[in-house]
Parts: sequence; structure tokens; C-alpha cells
Amino acid sequence: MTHAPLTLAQEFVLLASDRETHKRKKPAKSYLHTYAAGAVLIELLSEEIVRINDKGKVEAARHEAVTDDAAALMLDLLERRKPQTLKKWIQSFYSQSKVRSALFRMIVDPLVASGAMTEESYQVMLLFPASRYVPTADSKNRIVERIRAELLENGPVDRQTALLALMLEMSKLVRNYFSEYEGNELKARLARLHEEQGEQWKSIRQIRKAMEELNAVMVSAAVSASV
Amino acid sequence: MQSELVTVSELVQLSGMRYSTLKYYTEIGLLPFVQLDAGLVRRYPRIRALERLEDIRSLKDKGLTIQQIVEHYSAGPVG
Repeated sequence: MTHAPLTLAQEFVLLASDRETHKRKKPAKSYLHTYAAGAVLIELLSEEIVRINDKGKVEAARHEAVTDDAAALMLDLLERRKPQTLKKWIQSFYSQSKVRSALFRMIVDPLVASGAMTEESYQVMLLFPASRYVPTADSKNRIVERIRAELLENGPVDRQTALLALMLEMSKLVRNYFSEYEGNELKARLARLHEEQGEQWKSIRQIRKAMEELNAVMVSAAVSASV
Repeated sequence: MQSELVTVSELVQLSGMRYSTLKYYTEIGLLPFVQLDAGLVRRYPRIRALERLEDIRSLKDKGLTIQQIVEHYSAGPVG
């Protein structure tokens, strides 16, 4: 069986939108969408299609045609809008539901088309029709198995696998899929990656910083929402 | 015996690798198996599977990622 390669954002969405693994608290749609938008930006940063300039603002590093719709929309937004910091971009995705929903649909539509996710209809408070995306067990397991096979065994780690594990760590999703022992091993391995694969990981510091900024925005949004 | 078939649990014990890793290698076509009709149980030819795992280990030691190892086998005849 062959599987089309998924983007970082698609893999993150498959793992983050799984309601089964969120026993205590289901992820709010706005958080999930904003993290997914952040994943699109992080992937573009890691591919060096986008960079953070000397003033700390996000800009296109090279004009390249991308085949992924969500990445194409993100590049279009970067070109059309005033340059701003990554933190500001994340804040704008969080506050502008129209943009983040459009990005999210572009991320999930291919997943629904390929059968990796299904779209379920439900009613909010038994009154208002709504829909949610549910990942299939196979699609989730395959990603988790890949993370185990790469990060918890010896050998080099693919860039996307490491970025995904970093995102899971930052968004506190590691414990949903890995035991405490495995989670600690993952964390330790991620910390060692810079030394092990220094050449391929030149931009990891910048990406880690980008993820920290993404996470900081989401944490402050959560605090504001709870007061 | 070349034809001896083992389960994934036995292969975990023989290889010392994680169950999830063997399952992943199987899913992406790195590990040869036969599927018996009844219950669709996957069985692995012991010697071939262990040789393949050793081969994968040595390719990883040479710096190949799993994706590159898949491409390596796709490029040549798969054992």
C-alpha cells in the first residue's frame, strides 16, 4: 500500500484533532486551527522558502511555486500583507477566524479526500449544526510508529519527523501518544539532534524559536480566555 | 530453516527491536512478510526478516534515513 507524503501541518492536524486521545479536555477549534497555520509557516521556514529577516519579520526568502495549497495561501498572505513578526502572524491567525479556517480547510481537504480523515456532522447544544474532522486510527498510528522508529531507535532522523515531534512536545501532545518513559526519551533525542545532525539542522534554532513564539501566543490566549 | 515463519512478537524478541518499529517497517514495505488467510495474520520469514533488519541497521549507521532506505530498496531488487 502506498501513501502520499503528508505535510507537517497535515500530520500535526491528524494527531492534534484526535478527540479520543484528549481525555480531559478537547482542543478548541481556534487553537487547533492556529497551531495548524503555525505548522504551515514552520514548514516553509524549515524549507527556507520563508525566512525571518534582521528586523525579526517574516518574509519570503525565494519565490518558489509550491504544490501544497495551504503553503501557497500562506505565501500569498506574506506577500500581500504588511511584513510582521512571527508572533504577530500567529496572533493574527488566532484573531482572524476567516483566514485560519481557510488555511485549515486547505490542510484537511486532501486528508478527507484520501480517507485519512472523515468529516462528521454533529449538533452544538443539540441545536446548531456543526462539523468536525476525525482521523482514522491507521493514519494516526502510522505517524506515531514513524516517530518511534526514527526518534526512539538509532540512526538519522528525517527533518519532518523531528519538526513534528518538536511541535507535539511544544503543544503538550507527546503524552497523548507516548508513555512517560518514551516521552522523556523523545525529549532527550530531540535535544541531541542538533549535535548529531548539525549540518542538516542549521536552521533548527530559528525554528525552535518560532515554535516557542507560536506556543507563547497560544498559552497567553488560553490564559486570557480563562479569566 | 529458510522457510521458517515467525510472528511479529517473535521477531521483536529475536531482533530486540520495538514492536511499533517492526510494524512501521512492514507498513512501508521494508520488511518481507506473508499473510495467511485465516485472521489475516502476518508471518515473517525468520532468516530473511532478520537479515533485512540487520541490513537496515547498517544503512542507518551509514547515515541513511528511513525514507532514504525505502528509496534504496525501491531502486534495486527487493529481497
